[in-house]
Amino acid sequence: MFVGMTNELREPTFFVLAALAGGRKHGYGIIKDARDLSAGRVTLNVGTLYSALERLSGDGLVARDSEEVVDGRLRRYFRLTDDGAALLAEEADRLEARAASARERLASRHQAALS
Amino acid sequence: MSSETTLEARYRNALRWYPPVWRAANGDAMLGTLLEQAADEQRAHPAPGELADLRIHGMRERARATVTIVPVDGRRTASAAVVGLGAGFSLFFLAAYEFGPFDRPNPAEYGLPTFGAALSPGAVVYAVWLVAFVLAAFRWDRTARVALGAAALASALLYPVTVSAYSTQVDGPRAGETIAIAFLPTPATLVFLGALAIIGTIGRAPLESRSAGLTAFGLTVVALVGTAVQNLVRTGSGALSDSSLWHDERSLGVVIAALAVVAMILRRRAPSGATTCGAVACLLFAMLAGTLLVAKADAPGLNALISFGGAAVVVVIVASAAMLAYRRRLRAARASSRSLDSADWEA
Repeated sequence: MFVGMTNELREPTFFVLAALAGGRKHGYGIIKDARDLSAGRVTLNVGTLYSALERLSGDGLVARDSEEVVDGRLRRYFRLTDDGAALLAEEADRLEARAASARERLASRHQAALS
Repeated sequence: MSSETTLEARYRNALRWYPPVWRAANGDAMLGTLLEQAADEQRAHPAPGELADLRIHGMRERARATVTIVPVDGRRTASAAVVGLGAGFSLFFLAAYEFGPFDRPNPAEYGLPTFGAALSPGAVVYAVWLVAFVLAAFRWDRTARVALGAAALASALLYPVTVSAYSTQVDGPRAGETIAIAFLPTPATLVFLGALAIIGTIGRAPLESRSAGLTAFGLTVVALVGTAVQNLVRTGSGALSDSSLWHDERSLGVVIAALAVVAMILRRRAPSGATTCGAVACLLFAMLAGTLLVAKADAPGLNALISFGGAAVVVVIVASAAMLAYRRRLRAARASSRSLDSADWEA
């Protein structure tokens, strides 16, 4: 799994899973969606994307869905599995909790500055 | 030649950095994505860094393909068995020799200090191994891999660092170095532990199969305690140095045979236990063959035959298994993937 010591997802992996949460997508669809979701901050290269997809498939978080040929080019579609959705939800909760504690600290700092 | 054809040729060339199995499975889909992105961005040339990214990932996949020749279940079990074996070995020699209460050699007799309460700086290698094992058992995988890397590095640096630290302790040309080295773990031990540590870092989780790791750890400690008891009965000395272990091919032979018998018994009832015993027996056999090869190859007769024959058998078995597994994977990848232009993807 693309996680470290603290079971945290790496950013590109997070955005690949988040892109697929909206429904099945092919390679370039995932790249565009990850860029949009991260407000242009994360640009996945094709090599990076397919290495991530291969490992996520191996971990059962993502699955190949179908293939089609468009303009003579192969498009392979991927979808999020239930395990992948659960992991993404877990990570989103973690990020939310982290943001909430940061906001809380900032609020108390602001309070202290006013008093 | 049109600009798209030229672009496609450049992408195909870059994708050749990937191993054939990967290309058969993903090559067409990757090429389709690359060309679609280039068309959408109205490019007739690869984007900056795009080819470098393909080359780097291609090399990484080649390295990974070499490791993953062994099926994933076998890799998990073997990695865990290796980590358990190294930790069991380290615990035994740390407790029984470096800090042992038995009649161990005394560096003070040669004018050299001990390494704190331990006999020699070799204790560092054993201690780092145990730290790595504990981290892996608690699933701190990345930190455990770093600790295993540190154990491998400590094995490699132990001799040069000790020699430079002790070289002025005793008068006479190189006398201090010679004596200091005499108390360290033998080169066979350091090569063995270093190799085990490197194998342990290859997987993403060194102790993914915790039962296999703990079994290997327990078996190794029990086997070494048994060897020490046998040594005590035979010689009256409770101290078992790693050096004497490597030169006791009969005891190692008995341990290997016992593990093979246990593996046969467990084959149907507990396949993972059988695989662990088999993996540990193979490692010990390779180790024994390697040590005899180094230590006794110049001695004619049975020992030389065992050493060369053993090493040859291990190499042939490992190479044949790797070839068979690789060919099977290549066939499976080609069969499961549709190929737009299969001839072009041949290696």
